[in-house]
Amino acid sequence: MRVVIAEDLTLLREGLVKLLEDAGDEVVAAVGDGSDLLRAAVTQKPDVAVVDVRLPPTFRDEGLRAAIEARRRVPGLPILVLSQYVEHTYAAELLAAGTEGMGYLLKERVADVGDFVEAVHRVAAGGTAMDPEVVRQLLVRRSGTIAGLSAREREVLGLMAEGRSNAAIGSALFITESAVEKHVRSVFGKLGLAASDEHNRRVLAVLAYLRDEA
Amino acid sequence: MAPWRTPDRPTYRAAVQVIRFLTRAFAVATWRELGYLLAGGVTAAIAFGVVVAGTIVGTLCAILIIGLPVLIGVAYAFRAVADVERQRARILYDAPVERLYDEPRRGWIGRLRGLWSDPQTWRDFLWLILLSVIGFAFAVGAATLWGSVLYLLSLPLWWLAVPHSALPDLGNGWTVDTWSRVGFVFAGGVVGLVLTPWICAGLAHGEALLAKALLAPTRRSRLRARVDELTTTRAAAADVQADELRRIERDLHDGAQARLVAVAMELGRARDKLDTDPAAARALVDAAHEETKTALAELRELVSGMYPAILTDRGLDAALSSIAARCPVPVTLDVELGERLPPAVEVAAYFVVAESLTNMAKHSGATSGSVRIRRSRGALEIDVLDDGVGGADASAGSGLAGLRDRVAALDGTLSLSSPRGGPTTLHVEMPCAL
Repeated sequence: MRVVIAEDLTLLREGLVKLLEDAGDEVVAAVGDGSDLLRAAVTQKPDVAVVDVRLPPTFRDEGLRAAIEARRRVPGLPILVLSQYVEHTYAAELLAAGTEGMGYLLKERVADVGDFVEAVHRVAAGGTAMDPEVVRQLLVRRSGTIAGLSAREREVLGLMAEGRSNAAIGSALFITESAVEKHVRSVFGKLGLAASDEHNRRVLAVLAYLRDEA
Repeated sequence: MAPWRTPDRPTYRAAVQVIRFLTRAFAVATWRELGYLLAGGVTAAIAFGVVVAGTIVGTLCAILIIGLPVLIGVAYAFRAVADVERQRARILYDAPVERLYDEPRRGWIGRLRGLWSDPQTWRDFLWLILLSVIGFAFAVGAATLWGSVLYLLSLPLWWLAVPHSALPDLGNGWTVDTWSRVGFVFAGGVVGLVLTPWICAGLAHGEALLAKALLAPTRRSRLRARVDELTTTRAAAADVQADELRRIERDLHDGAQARLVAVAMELGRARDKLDTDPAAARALVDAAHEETKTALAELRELVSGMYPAILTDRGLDAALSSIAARCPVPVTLDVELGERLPPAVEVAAYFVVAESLTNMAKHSGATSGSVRIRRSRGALEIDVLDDGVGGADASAGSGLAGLRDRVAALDGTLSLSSPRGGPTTLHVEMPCAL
């Protein structure tokens, strides 16, 4: 898998390169700012771009803007945005730029190498990866409407919003895949969402539901 | 029906002016002025009594140590009359004269010294003396003028009602005994009715001007009071900052720093066991890994409490939208700001709203709330309301007290109304420019 990395801190950039190369991916460009990211995205057409939100010269949300711009110039380019802190409004902006192949994670999630690599690959394959912290923020504002769900169903809803597959949810909660499916159907029924068999469409329906004004 | 429009012609406007001039007697202002002057007569009498009695008693007591409390009492008596005088301005202007004295000092002697050295004490005294004279004179003058006007205007009625011989002598045997003289006197009354209000207006506003000159604080004392206030709020701001640094130091010391020590220790032990006991080494590395992740989460929490990153990135409006959306209580947000505010004001506004919403979610039991934030006349106004149970407390030690200090450091004010049973309203005002 061909990856472009945009991260201004050398230590982290080199770390990410090693981590992904260890996982068998090919890092075709590792850049330090937004304009280099755009150039690399256009010339290399990578399978996925991993982008830090805070980049020079402003050190604000430069990376986020660059990622959205890259997605505009290279339609369908899968993007995983990393950030020192997560903000549900940024997640909404990213999803507005494109729902498939979009991820937004706390930078510190790289500590769990396996999970992180899995998230990169999921995004590259057109899936979604939302940080549990973003999902938590979204669930809080929906606390009124999801009060009708059981504790287990709420857990399933949260993991689903992160973009995890039924198998991943099952292993995280130590239940079988068919049990997960049962919970998912129940959640969709209670929230009045149209059921869908296709995994990513289901994730997006959940995210859209959570993002909607309560 | 066609709407009635004011003809916009100079002659019309001139006519209106003339009519206003002639009918001043029937304007509300006239009666307020008369009321002010007559009330001044009463306070003048009181002031005269207090000044005479106070001066005599004060002079006698000043010789004796035991007279100190009495002297203080005299000073406060002067102050009380001066306060009545400040309030008297409301008859004329709706607002009392501004009041500003030095903070009272401690102890009998200190208190007396404070009173003695406060220039306002002497300015009050001066006004009371002045008032004894002009207040009384003006009141008598106004009463006489109005009495005469009423008398002259009512003379024709008397002429009709009682036999001519009973009419008074208006000087040199000149009595109102013919119709032409009746008309003459009545005309005099009408002229008086037109002029008296203007004379009284002059007296009232002149008196009020003098009163204000002596009773309102001088520029100097205003500045001194401002310096005192700034000294206090600056100290509070420094305290807030010191507390904040202490909290951060403690959080780092007990949190991330301690965890990193543990991580280094576990990794060290793991290295030693790598060859002899790989399984134990692996367990230690696992523990160190977990420890690092916890440290990262703690650091993230700490950093976001120091300065909200979204504020730097996107400004106040976006930052507030984000916290409002994250609040479990549905909150309507109404932000009207225009250009960006100074960073210190933005941060304070952010923390005011963040803390209020946290309190709302934790304690109020509210089902809905609202946040309104806007600029008005160079100030930033924040209103936070909820329909909860009330009982919020802004006394020392609470998060709200910290907010109050933070706001005061920017020369702003915070007021909270939260009766038991609700609703809770919080109002903050801060100057936009620093």
